[in-house]
Amino acid sequence: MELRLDRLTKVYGSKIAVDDFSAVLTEGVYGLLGANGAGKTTLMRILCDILRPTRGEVICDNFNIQEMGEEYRNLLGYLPQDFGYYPNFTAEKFLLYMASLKGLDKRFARERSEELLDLTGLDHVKRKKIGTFSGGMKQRLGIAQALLNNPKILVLDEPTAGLDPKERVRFRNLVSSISKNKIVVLSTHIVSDVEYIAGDILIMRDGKLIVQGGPEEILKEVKDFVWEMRVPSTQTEQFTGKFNVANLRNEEGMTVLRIISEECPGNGAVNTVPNLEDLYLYYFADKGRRL
Amino acid sequence: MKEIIKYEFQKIWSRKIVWTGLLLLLLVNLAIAVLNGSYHVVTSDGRELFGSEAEEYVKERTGKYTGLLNDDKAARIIKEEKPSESVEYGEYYGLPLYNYVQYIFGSEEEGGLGKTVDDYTRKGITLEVGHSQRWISLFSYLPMMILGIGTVAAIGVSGVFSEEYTRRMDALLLTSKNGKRKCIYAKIIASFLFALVCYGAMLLVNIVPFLLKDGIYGWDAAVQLSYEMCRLPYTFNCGQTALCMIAGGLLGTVMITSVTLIVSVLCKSSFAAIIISFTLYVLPMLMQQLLPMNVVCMTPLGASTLEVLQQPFVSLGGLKVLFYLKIIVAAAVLVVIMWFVTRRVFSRHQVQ
Repeated sequence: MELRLDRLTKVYGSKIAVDDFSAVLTEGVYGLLGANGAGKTTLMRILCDILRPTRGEVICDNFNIQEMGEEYRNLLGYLPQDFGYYPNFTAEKFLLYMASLKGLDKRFARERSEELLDLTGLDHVKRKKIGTFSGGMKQRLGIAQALLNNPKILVLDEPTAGLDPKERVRFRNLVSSISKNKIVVLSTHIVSDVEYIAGDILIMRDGKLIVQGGPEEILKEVKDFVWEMRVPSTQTEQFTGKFNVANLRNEEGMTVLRIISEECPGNGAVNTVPNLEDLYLYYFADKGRRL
Repeated sequence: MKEIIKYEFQKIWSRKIVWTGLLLLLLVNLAIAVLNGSYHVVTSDGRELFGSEAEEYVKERTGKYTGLLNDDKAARIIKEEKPSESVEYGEYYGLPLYNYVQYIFGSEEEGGLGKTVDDYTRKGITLEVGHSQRWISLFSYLPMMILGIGTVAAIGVSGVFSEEYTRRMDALLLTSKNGKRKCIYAKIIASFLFALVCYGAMLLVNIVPFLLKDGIYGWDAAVQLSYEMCRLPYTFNCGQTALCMIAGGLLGTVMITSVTLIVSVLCKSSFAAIIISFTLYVLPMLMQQLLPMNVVCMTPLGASTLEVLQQPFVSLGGLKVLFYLKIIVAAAVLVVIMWFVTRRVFSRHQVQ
């Protein structure tokens, strides 16, 4: 299966939310990284055919998704950023309702709902009203409904919002376990969500795709730009004001700074192995500090 | 599809505002039933009677004159049931039959219209005298109950689409396989089912006690023997009138449901949808003085009133059919428009 995003553009008045975005997605997990307002949600909605692009198209196996209609939606599982629900519905009833909308057979829907409630740890509250759920529980229910029809294309928009670290790890493992033979697009601004599970990372800024590639491949972009240096604690503020500081750690009266900079920040600074968070900060730091 | 309809139906009923509306309507209904059910009559010799005693008196006195009305009988009613000199006119809650006959056939000097029975028979209209009072009473409050149930239907249906926007469920619905077609059909079907259940319940609460009390007694009395319907230019009895009002109310309910669905799919909030739908529901009646009556009669609320019966017949290939045919066509057109608008608007809705 192949999903081709061909020069997608979405304009709202004078604002360009998505700007000439092109990518080819095949089976695997894609992490879409970007700051708030980068255009990730707009792109996800275009992918799900609930927002029409101003220009460009999304092609699924040589067919425009708008023309495919029901056929495309049958392949799709979507968890939106603001997950809507009915407070008076129980978790079980909500999944059965969504299953009927996804065209699932009644018996299969019941079995599948049970399975997913168990998988997402909501089995013990399946008969409770969604209105009584915590944020994390609602999010897990959202993930469950997205998986009902065993979709070939899974689009998850900020799926870990509201989840605590333990739940985020659980979610990552869940996505990994179900991602075989699927195209999974996961948008987030939390690097750790995708760092360990994404085969491909797409970084989006101001509506544009600025970088795409496997984690190791794209880290080469910042290979020589990540520095560690020890400075007296009294000078910390001077460095944090001037450079993009990814991390700051106090050690025996000194401060160890992890700095993202194209130039050496100072005497004693040594290059260190970059990680995805460094890459993210390199692209999304305040402009004045990037160089 | 049945499953989706079931859930959509449940979603409408799960709204607290629907239950609140139904409860309020039931209370109003009970209050009206109590007020209307209490008979009060002052006899021609000045005795004041209440409740079942008054009702028995009315039945007995009216029963003396049952059968076809002619000018002699009309004169006899006016003479025999006329209040005695000792009773002050303003206090006379007299025999309803006397009041109606006096109003229509009494001389103009005495405040009547001065008509004769011959004026009716020449037009082929026969006037059957019977216990029409209980039916006239029903006709007086039925439109109010239909207004109430139409309002509840509008409240229930207003959120069918608009609440999906406010709850942000639109994204999930529109990305599901059936979200852009079957889901919309299911919402429409569930909405009509809801409206029809409400209408049926209203009829049950009003008509069944009415029938349980005295059955269809007086159904064959001429509806012309009343203040509102004395100018009706064809033979028509109370039973037929009741059926027409119920049918008109049903058509009105179908129309208001259609209008509300259109408003719901266009509005981003169910509160706005309720306000707009209710305004569209009652506005034509409030603007009666400015609009032609035949237009008012084709509106959701106008369709349930007695005015419909007074509209000219519709010619259908040599046959003369009641004005209700136009209302049926209006309702059908509205349903078709609603079908297209809801399908087009919701399926193409862009989630922002």
